[in-house]
Amino acid sequence: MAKYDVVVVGAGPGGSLAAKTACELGLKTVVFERGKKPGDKSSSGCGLAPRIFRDFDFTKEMDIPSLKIKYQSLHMLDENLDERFMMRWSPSDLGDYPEAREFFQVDVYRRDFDRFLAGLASEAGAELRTGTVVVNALKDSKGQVTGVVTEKGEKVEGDVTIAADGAVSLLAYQAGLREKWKPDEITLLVDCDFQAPRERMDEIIGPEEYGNQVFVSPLYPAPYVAMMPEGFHVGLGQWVGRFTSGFAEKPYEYLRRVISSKPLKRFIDRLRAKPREFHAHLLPWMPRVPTNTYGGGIMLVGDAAGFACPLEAEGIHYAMFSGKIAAEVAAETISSGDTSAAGLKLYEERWKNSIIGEEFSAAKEWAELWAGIFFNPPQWSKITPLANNLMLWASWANPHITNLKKQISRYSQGLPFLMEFIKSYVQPLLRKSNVHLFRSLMKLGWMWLKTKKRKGIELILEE
Amino acid sequence: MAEKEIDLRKMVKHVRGTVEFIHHDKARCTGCGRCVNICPMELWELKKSKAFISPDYAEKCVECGSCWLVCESNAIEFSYPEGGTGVIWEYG
Repeated sequence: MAKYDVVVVGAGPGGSLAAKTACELGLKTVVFERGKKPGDKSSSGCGLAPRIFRDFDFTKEMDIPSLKIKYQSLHMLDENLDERFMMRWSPSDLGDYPEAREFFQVDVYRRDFDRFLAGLASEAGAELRTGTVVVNALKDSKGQVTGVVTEKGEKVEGDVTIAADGAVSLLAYQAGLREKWKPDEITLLVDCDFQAPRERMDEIIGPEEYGNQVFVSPLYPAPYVAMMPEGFHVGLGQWVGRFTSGFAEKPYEYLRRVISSKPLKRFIDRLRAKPREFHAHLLPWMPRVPTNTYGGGIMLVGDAAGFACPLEAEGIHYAMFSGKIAAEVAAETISSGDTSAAGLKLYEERWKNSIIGEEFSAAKEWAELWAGIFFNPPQWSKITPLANNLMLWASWANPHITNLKKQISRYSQGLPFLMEFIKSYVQPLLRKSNVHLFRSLMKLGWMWLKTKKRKGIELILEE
Repeated sequence: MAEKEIDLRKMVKHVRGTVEFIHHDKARCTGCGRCVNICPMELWELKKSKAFISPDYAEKCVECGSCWLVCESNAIEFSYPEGGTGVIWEYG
């Protein structure tokens, strides 16, 4: 029976980082990948966050086709899919490192990115076994995971197994770490890759002005356009429970209608783009802190653990980051001789004390914002008219003061909705940021009355 | 004349394997229809209050696992086609 220090299942970003790190720490490591090549089974999820380039130096030398996304825009459409309001913005000057100020994300094809990372793991000394499905976990009499079984019945032992087998993670299920995801913990995404001539893209959009777009409307849950090196992806998603409960329509039906909608059709035609490949996949999107990310002899990383950001489900950075932490914990626990659940609890402590834990500290609030607004089409029949009237005062239709009166009347009608909106979605996030909205407003009013200088407004921070 | 709409779902590359990787236990199936609603490739249908998967599912399935995930009666057993076969994404 083959014996390794670390058995990694899945050669995506999480698995490859785990394997690379484990090898660098001197551990004998094998990686199983069910695709013939890494990336074969990776369906969309193509945006690399600035923090990937900050936290993983080797990505700076990456030489694969990529596109820097320097703008983001939000397009509000009415029930006829006419655009009524649009905003577009560039990276914030508050970005605390160069990449954060330069771009929102770098879009790449997963085929290229996953192969790049798997290549680094191989170079570091990992044995990469592609085209091999892991069908079960090996367990000892105490239930501790001691390795894996492949589709050929081969048993491969490892002191530690790292499950990086994606959103479905049959291994987490087989190891007894998790029942199936709950309907509000996971989403289904459908997406279509379009190919467009690069010269045409540069001509129409501008070589330095590539941006990703989100379209909101009362008709479907927030489809996106993500620009890619050879064209773009158009896609959308929704929580699984909303598809099965009848809240949402069938996933493909949505995508079909989005692509044939006026704004998208125009965009596609203008770039002379042609559909090239259809994608569909599950994506964890947790309104809570992930649990059961480890057990005796096993750790879950990336999507398998549920580590996708609770606002927009960005998961590549957290996959890489958790893969690295898992490998470090594997090295320490193998060296100390305790790879039981008690020993591997260290993994949970580490990720909870990292930026992953920080991200999930407001998981409920961010996921509720997205579920309540962006993936909740009926809301947009209320929000879009308010946004549309934002500049009514400047209109040439009537004297400006008449316009302004109309605008005030419209907003006063919308006040109950706005208050409810702030209470449901904004206030919880302010609380998480230690801002007490009501007390801050009171203090503001008090300062206004008391001080003659009337400058310097402080928000009250809770202890 | 209106342009004929393309079914985008035909734009998926497959290498046909030989193993059956989705098993459906009709006795357990409650006919709730969740698999029918969720499957992005629309490979499931309801007949007489039982779900049926298309006989050619292995040539179309994109291995997302949704049907398995949503099946509350555990009537659907999901694994993967053998290594190196099944869906291949080049532009994911």
